[in-house]
This record gives sequence, C-alpha cells and structure tokens, in this order.
Amino acid sequence: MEKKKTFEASMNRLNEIVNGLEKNEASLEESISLFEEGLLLVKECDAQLRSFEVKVQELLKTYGNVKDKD
Amino acid sequence: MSNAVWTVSQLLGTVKQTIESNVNFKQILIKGEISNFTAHQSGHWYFSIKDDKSKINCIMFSSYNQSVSFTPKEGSKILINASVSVYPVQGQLQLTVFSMQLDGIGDLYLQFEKLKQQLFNEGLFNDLHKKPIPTYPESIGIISGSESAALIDILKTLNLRWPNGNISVYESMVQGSSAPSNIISKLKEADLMHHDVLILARGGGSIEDLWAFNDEQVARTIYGLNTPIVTGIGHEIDITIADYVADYRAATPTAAAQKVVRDYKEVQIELNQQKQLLVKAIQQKYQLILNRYTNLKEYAVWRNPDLLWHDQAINLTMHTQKLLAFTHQIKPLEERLRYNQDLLKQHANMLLKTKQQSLMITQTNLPQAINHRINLSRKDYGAMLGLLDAYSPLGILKRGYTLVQSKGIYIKTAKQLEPNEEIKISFYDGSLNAVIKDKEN
Repeated sequence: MEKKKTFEASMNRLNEIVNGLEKNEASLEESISLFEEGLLLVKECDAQLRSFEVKVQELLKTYGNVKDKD
Repeated sequence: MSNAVWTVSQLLGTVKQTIESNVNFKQILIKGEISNFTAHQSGHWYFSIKDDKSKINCIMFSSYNQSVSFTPKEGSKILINASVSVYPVQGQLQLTVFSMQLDGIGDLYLQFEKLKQQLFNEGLFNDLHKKPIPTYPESIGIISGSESAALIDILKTLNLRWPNGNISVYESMVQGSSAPSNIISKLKEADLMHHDVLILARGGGSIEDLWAFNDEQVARTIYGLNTPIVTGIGHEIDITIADYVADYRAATPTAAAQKVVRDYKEVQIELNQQKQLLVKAIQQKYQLILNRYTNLKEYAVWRNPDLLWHDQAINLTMHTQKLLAFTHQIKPLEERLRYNQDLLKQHANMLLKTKQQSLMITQTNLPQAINHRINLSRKDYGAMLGLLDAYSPLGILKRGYTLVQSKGIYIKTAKQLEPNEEIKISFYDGSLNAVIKDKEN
C-alpha cells in the first residue's frame, strides 16, 4: 500500500517485537530473528532521528538559536 | 426547624450553600453597568454591576481578569459570565465573574452561545466523531493566515521537533467578512490532499477578530473533514466553535504544532529504551535457554551411563523379593487345597461305590421282574382276546344270526320297514339284497 515503511509503522512494529520478546513465547530461533528485525528497526528509526538532529541544528543556526516559546 | 434558633453564620452558611449549589445560578450571562470599580493590588477586581433598579457586588479574580481585552471604566456597559455566590462576612450576595465583554458585542456573545448549544445538541462536538491524531504524521497541512505570527510559530515548532519537511501551508484570510468562506475552501482543498493531519490556527485577538472561527458553516466543514484536524486559535482563554468541533483543541498555535508532532529528542530516548528492552529480552531468552541446556548437560547420566539401568536393577530386585514373599503366602493355601482335594476324592469314591452296589442289585433283579411282568401280560392278553371274539358281531353271525340294513341304517324292529322296501341282509359269509313282500302283525 505504502511505498516505504512509515516511522509510525516502524515504531509500532518495534513495540510489538519488544512486547513479543518480553512475553517469551517464541522459540529461540524466532526470538533471534525478531531481535534482528528489532535492531534493524532501531537502526532505521535512529538514522531518521539523527538526520532530524542535524537538520534542527542547522535550523537553529538559521533562526539564531531562539528558544521555544510557550 | 421553625422553633430552632440560628446563629447568623449558620444562616448565611445555609443560604450560601443553597444558592451556590443551584445550577440555575451557575455560569449565567448578566448585563449591566460597571460601578465602584477597584483593581486591587492582589490583581483581583472588585466592582458592582447595576441597572436602573438594582445592583450587585462582583469579584473577578486575577486568573480570569487577565484575559479581559479592555480596561473597565465607571459606567461601562458590560456583559459578564458569572456564578452567584454569597459573601458571608458582609451577608451579601455577590457574583464571581469569569469573563467580561463590552456590551456592544453582547449580541455576538449570545449568538455564540446559541450556536454552540445548537451544534452541541446536533452532536457535532461528540467525542465519538473525533478522529485520532496520528503520532508520527508524514504529511501535515496548515491552514493559517499568510505570514502570520501563528504560522511562523507553527512552522518553527514543527521544524524544531520533527523536521521531516513534509508540510503544506494553505494561506487563508482569518478575519473579516470573507474569512469564513475562505477558511472553508482552504479546509476542503487541504482535505483532498490526503495529509495525515491538518492544523487550523490563528493568533490571539478580540472576539470580533476570532469571529470567523465561530461561523456555523466553518464548524460544519470541520465536522465533515476526512483528515484529523487540530485547532490552535487565539489564546488559552479563547474557545471558538471551531475548537469545539475539531478533533483536538490546542490552546495556541504553538501548542497545536506540539500536539501534531512529537519532539524527536523524546522519541530518541524512547527508541533507546526500546533498544535496551530488546537487548534485555533477548539476553533473558538466551540465559533461559542456556540454563536449560546446562541443566541437561549436567544430567548425571551423561557422565555415568550405568545410572540408566542402575535404578531398573534396584527395581527388579525389589520386585523379585516381593514375589518371593508372595510364594510363602501361597504354600499354606496350596496345602489346604491339596487336603480338600483328597477329602473330595474320598467322598467321591465312597459315593461311587454305593451307587455301583445298588446298580448291581438292580441289574440282577431287573430281568426277573420284567419276565414276570411279561408273563402276566401274556395271560391277560389271551383272556381279553377270547372275550373280544365272543362279543364280535362276526361271531354272532356265525352262530346263524343276520343283520338287516335299509338305506344304510341297521334295522332293529319290524316297525322300521314297510312292504316293497329294499333291504340288505348280511350273513357271516356274504350279503343279499331283498324286497319286503308284506308285513305280519
């Protein structure tokens, strides 16, 4: 349906994986593959958030480091 | 009750409670003129509101009077929203005022209340119709005044919190007579673009400035949107009809932007927590499996396989011993059985002998008895035969008697026959047919 995984979908899936692993119902093989998928999602989301960080730093420079109001 | 004596404070306490618990005296609109206005240094306002016949004291606390957009003066015609209360110290009725408008716009106020009630009754504000606001919108549409402070605040907030860049701005007139229709067309345009969420915003202003957001058709358009919408209109104190009907009402444009996107820093922290949970969960899983494996590995049988049959050998010995013990129990039973068998055999032999003897006796006597019986029977038979012969009609015929029949009937008397009747005469050696000649009497 969507051309790429949305951040929301990734975070939801990550949450699902963490809950699944914490329930401890899957086999070791399944758990490892879930773990791998989870780490991949973390990496993707983290990369996106890091790009946000860079962008925000640039924006702050442009705005002259103004503080958030309200 | 009528005979009871009240203290003054008891009386006023009861009156206060009676009045203040009455819903008809809560949040009501009152119009009149200001008199005796005092702005106390605490920030609270004390004044009276009066008409040509009556007057009542009012208090407006600083938390409420901060949002009043004009400076009240002696004689100003005002419209207030207040609840009736009692000030027991002076034994006075007073009004606790929540908001105040100059009476010139009192009509707008009444219109607002009327529309709000109408749309409420129609269910436009019902939570059931409110769409959830997505947590991580990929695409955001903003409907706001061109180059307005509200728009700048929103863009800045969005960019500093979640700079994914997918923002569309639909510049609209936000005040004046053509603002409602302009807002409606921009809302509809934005709704067609399939954004994940919309923001409708305007900075603070007077009630007239914000009036476009109290328009009935604007409200109905918001209600009809397919995209979730967050409003941020005016200041904290201003709540417009658009706010009531929106999926989420933020107090200000900045607050609306904050509602729409999360701060990436918070999400980073959360992501990190998720990662730690992941690692912890997999470590626990691994440890659990490792423990199970270790337990199995440490299982004594691997080192001493004799254990596998050791237990079985013990079991076997135990069962053998039990069986042996059982054999001892059986022996006396066996002896008793044998004894009984012998006894039975003796009895049987004795019985057999007796029966054989009586049988032998019977065998010897039987032929004699039978022969005797046969001889007796033979004699009887001879006598019977002689008797039978003597009584036989054939024997009688031999002696010269005859039988007369007519029409198959044996004739016993002469009366039975008439002349010319045919008869049959039977002799011992044959029969003759004859005809009766005549009858003698």
